Amino acid sequence: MVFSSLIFLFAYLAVTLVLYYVVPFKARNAVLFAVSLVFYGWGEPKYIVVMLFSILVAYIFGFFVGKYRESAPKKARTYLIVSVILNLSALLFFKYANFFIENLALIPGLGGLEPIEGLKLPVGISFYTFQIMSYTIDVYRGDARVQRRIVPFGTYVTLFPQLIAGPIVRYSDVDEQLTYRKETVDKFASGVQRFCAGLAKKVLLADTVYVLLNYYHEAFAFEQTVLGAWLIVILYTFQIYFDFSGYSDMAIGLGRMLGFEFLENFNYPYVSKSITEFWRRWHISLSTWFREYVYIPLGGNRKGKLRQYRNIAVVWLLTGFWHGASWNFLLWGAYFAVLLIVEKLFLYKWLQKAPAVLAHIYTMFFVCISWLIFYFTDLGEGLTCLKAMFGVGVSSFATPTVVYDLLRYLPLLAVCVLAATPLPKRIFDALKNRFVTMRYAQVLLLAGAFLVITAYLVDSTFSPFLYYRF
Amino acid sequence: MNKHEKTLNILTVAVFLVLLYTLTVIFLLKPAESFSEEENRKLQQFPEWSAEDFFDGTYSTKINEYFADQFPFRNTFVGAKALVETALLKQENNGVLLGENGQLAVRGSTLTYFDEDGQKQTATVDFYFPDELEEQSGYIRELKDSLTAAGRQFALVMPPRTVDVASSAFRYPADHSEALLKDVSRLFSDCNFVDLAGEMKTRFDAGEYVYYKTDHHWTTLGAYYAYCAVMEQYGLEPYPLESFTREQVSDSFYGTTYSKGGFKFIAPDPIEYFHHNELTPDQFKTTVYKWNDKGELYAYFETEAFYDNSFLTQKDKYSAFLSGTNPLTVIERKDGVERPKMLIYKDSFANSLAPFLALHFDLVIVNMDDYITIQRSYVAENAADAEYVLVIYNLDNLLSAPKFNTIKGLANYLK
Repeated sequence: MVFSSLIFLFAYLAVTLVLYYVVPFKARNAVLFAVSLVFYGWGEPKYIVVMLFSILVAYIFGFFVGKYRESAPKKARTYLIVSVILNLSALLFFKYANFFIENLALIPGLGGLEPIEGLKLPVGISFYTFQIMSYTIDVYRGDARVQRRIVPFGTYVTLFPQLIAGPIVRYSDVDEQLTYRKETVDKFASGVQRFCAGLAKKVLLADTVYVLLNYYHEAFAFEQTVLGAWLIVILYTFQIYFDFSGYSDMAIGLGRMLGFEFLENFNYPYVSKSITEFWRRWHISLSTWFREYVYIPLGGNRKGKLRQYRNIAVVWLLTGFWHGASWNFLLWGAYFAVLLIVEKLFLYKWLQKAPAVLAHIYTMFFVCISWLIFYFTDLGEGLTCLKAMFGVGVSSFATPTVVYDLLRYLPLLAVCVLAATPLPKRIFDALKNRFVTMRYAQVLLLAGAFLVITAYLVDSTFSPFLYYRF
Repeated sequence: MNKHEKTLNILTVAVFLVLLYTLTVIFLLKPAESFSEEENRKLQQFPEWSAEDFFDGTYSTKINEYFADQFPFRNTFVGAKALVETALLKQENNGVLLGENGQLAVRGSTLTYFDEDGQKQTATVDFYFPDELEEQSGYIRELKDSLTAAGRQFALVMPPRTVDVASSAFRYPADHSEALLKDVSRLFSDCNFVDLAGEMKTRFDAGEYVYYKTDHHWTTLGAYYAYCAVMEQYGLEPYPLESFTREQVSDSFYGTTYSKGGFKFIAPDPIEYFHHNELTPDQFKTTVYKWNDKGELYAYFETEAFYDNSFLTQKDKYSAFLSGTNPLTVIERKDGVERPKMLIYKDSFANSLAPFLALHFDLVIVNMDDYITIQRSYVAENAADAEYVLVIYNLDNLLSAPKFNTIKGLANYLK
């Protein structure tokens, strides 16, 4: 189920809130566990089994890791390794098996290899696998206590707000909240605001930007222009940000409505003045995860420059591959590895001294190009688009249609640019502090936004069947 | 936390919950509707439980659709979205252009093609495949040549799209439309092609009401001009406009483009019938055939003249012409006077054109749908002596559902 759907809002959420708040606190984790399984199984119930298997493995192995941690560290280590392998193998199988098979089949002599049919990626597996691993590793390191009860542990993994698209919540960050959390009106109110803000980002910005993006992607096969290619890249840059950060906002908001506090996942990444800074602001929970569980264990920056660069390369290739089993994602990871190493070598220092505008242009340019690599899973198509951006192989700089579309989207794009900066929030907070009425206007704004979002959601399901053709 | 803040938080939560649960409760109480006139389709009902459906995901898909289809104030919400899009200066909604004087037009056509992996793909764009056009013109040329050799009169009409005719009403650039029209003119130039785009455009620009504003069809006036051009192509004399009495039969027609675009603030179109002053409706008989369960044709509707007025009280008012889209329609004179026979292969643009042609010919009207092969037997039995053959297929259909290949061998059935 996705948050930005009528059924989620007016059936799932409506029922879940009632169930959650009518039962006594003791039973709330059990309610969350149950409704989260419904949330996950909606659409494809069979993958619940895969998830429950992963939960069970982590729960049992986590128990033994904790048990032997101090008395028999070697035993604990073995349990940890087996647990990680079991968890990762589910991810590897479902996500990467066919990628490896298809590429091995290109090697002469192995052409007979056939992809496994009907293998589909269980929703959210990349996210919950990483969450589960964080638990076992944290227990091993002594950063988290063993969770002896299966219900709170299952609740942690399946918690529907962050189940299918993050943020990746580390066990140690919610450990205490699983046993004790306080639901208050204030938390609920801030959750509502955050959820609606996220929903607005997704439905009003990301999805409407996508309409034109999709048109130009489809049209790209017919006509290539410089402006059209730039439009694709710029529209996607906005779409992916508002889509993904909107999702995180919704997750954080829903969490608050249920009494949880999750860590932030985005911090206005598009205001960054270097790629290094960008990755401190974009998908924070993922980069934190890789730093904690890969980069630092590999030695981080403590074993000399060369090792550090190697570690950066390893982390970024893995990050790229985590995003999808396809060459373009590996390339995307390698691209950031190179940029980050170059920044470590000298560029970051330069950028600190350079005029802010230049640093900003530099960052956004390379970020945009990265989204181009990310967007086109077909490398050839991506290359054509990249060339077109710089005038290679195009029919003209722009056609009247591209100019027309750009102009009519300018108001929306202006909203997108503003919404990607902290400015609107700052202005709004300043106004709220100055005028009490603004605070009440905020409630009206929320109600209005909610209704407009509903209108967009209804419209997206509106499909006139025009059998007029014949 | 001060008092203000507390009240505000309570208010925020209250507003959210009230909105959420009001809509939920209305949804629960509202009886499920079975058909949407606006969308011209059946709505999803609450699905029956089956374990199989549940495990392969169809059950939840149906529930999702049920929820979307039965959502309260559905049309109001759709209109509200169009309003917001208009306020954002988008000038379009759901692929429909909003132009001057409430003129609407669909922007692109949905093309189907096969990608490198042989997967069927669609793209809704304002482009076309030149190779496909050329191929289609080849089929028509083959048809024209074989019919001419068999001594029949052939003409081809491809009604332009609203976006071609009314381009001056939109900020949307006309270059793609012009490129298409030019290519079509060139490729079909030796196919007895009645090229209407230029004339319709000129008339539209001169303020004539040749295409509906809220529907993709031409108006009855537009159809009259098409009739004149077709007659000219056949070397025959059309009746002048003065020999008709115009009757406005509806002032509240909201067509397909209106439904798609969601711009609820647009004024409706009127619908007119043109009655010939001497050849009165009671001299004609129209028989409409439909398919029965066994896949056979049966006469389902018979009327004097050419109209099924029951549609005028429904949303789909254009279907008043020839009772809408049907596999086969036959128009004859009641008194049995024999006239030259005309065989028409068509889409819905022919429905408002046929009443004009019926003044001169006995018409056998065949729909260009997927059952075309089955209809051949009917044509071979009943229209083999047709002296005139007319193909009428609009440009959007030419791009999105090219199927002239299905009629290229038609001459074999005419004896």
